[in-house]
Amino acid sequence: MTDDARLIAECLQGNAEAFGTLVSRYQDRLYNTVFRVVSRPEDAADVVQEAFLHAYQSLHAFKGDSGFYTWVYRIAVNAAITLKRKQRESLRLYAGPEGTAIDPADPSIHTQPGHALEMAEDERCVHQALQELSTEHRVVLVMKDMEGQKYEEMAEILQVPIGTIRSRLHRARLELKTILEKQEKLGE
Amino acid sequence: MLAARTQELLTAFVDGALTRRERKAALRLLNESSEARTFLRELHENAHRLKQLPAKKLSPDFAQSVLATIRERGLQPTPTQVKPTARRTPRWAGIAVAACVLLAVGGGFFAYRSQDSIGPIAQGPIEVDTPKPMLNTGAKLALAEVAQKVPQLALEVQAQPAVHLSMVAKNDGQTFDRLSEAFQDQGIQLVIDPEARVRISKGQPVFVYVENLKPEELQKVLQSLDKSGRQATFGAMQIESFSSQDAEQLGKTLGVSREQLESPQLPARRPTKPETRPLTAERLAVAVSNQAVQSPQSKRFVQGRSAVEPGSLRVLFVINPE
Repeated sequence: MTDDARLIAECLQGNAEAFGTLVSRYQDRLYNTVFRVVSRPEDAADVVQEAFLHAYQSLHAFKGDSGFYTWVYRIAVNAAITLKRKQRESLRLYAGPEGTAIDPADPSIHTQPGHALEMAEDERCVHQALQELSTEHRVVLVMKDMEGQKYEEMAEILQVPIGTIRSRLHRARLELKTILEKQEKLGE
Repeated sequence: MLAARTQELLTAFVDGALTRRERKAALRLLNESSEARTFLRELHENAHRLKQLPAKKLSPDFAQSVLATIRERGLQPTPTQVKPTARRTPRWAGIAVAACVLLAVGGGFFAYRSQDSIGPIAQGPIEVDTPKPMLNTGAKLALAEVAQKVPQLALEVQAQPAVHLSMVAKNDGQTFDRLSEAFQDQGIQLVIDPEARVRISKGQPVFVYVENLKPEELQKVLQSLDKSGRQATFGAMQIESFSSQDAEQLGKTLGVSREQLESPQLPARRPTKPETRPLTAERLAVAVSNQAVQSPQSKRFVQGRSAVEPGSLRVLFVINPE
């Protein structure tokens, strides 16, 4: 039995503290991924917390086919996607007359006064470029380049065919390249 | 400017996701073209810049705050024991929202009503609040038109909120991709049985079954498929009642009785507090063949079924490859 499996067994026997150990073990890896998807630290923390709470309530359903981290990662990534989608819809809803704000900018961290200065220049550029991508494209890039996930794992987590992962990554890389090139031209 | 196919080859090269043959082609290309080499170098650099983004961390007391929330909300791991439950409104709202299920099945039985043979099926009197009913007319309608009239359709079937939608799809290998994306946009995950893929590749009908689909979600799914239809995947649609034969055969496919299909047994779940954010990970989708042997996907589907949501629809999509 793995250490994670032992902790899960303890949780199921009523020891909630054991779950705290699992949270401590994976919270930062999860947060780092979710932060790059949702951009706002408070949103990322909310998503990670809700993912852990959801996982806790569903522990009986955890079959151990995949690792605990993979399982909670899947919950968190999908929750992050949902949150971004809702934010986008909400922004559109309140964007004023039709056509005045077709694709409003995200209320992302990089738009907050002062924050940009705190980030290293290259990090700021890359983070900003990432936020300009659609959620679908941003997610696959984060999963592939930051998390080192394989196509198969990404397809399983996002519940889309492998071909879709490949095509999304292709479009995402082209789009990111274009955005970064524009940034460089503006900076010259 | 590199050709689109070349660019695709090179982006996949960055991911290390090429077949042996593709890799050879990519290496040959890189050997011959400086433009390709520049393009690849830039892709690698961008990927590297993403990898170099500093890791963000939560505060050290985050785990304690999670445990505090567990205590405050009185959360517990929910037993997976299955209890028979009457057809009523679930009270575990947060999870219920995320508990729509979808099943795609491939097989021969439902083909008894293929595009060419569909005819009106009497289902008894239905209160129809519109001069032009959509149900069982035998008419072939554009997806956009059906999408627009989904509210009317929901009214027509309110006595038995289930429909059988037959549509044509070009056998271009994109069917499941389009369906997956359309449903995923509504937070519903499509899990596909390999047999269903085989069948559609052979030009045989494939079936997608959805439960607890809200009319507005059906509307958006159809709108999404309509967009993809312009790219030559999906065609016109016929709308019929969900017949007793549909119920019987679908029940066999899933390994549940007709009664169970109508009124699913519910896994026991604790109510969640309203502030608990629904998570899309709970929305199951699965595709199976209609063989007697139950696939892992169909079992997962059955285990994940939830109570019927008032105002929601059960929808059987019949996808007929051209």
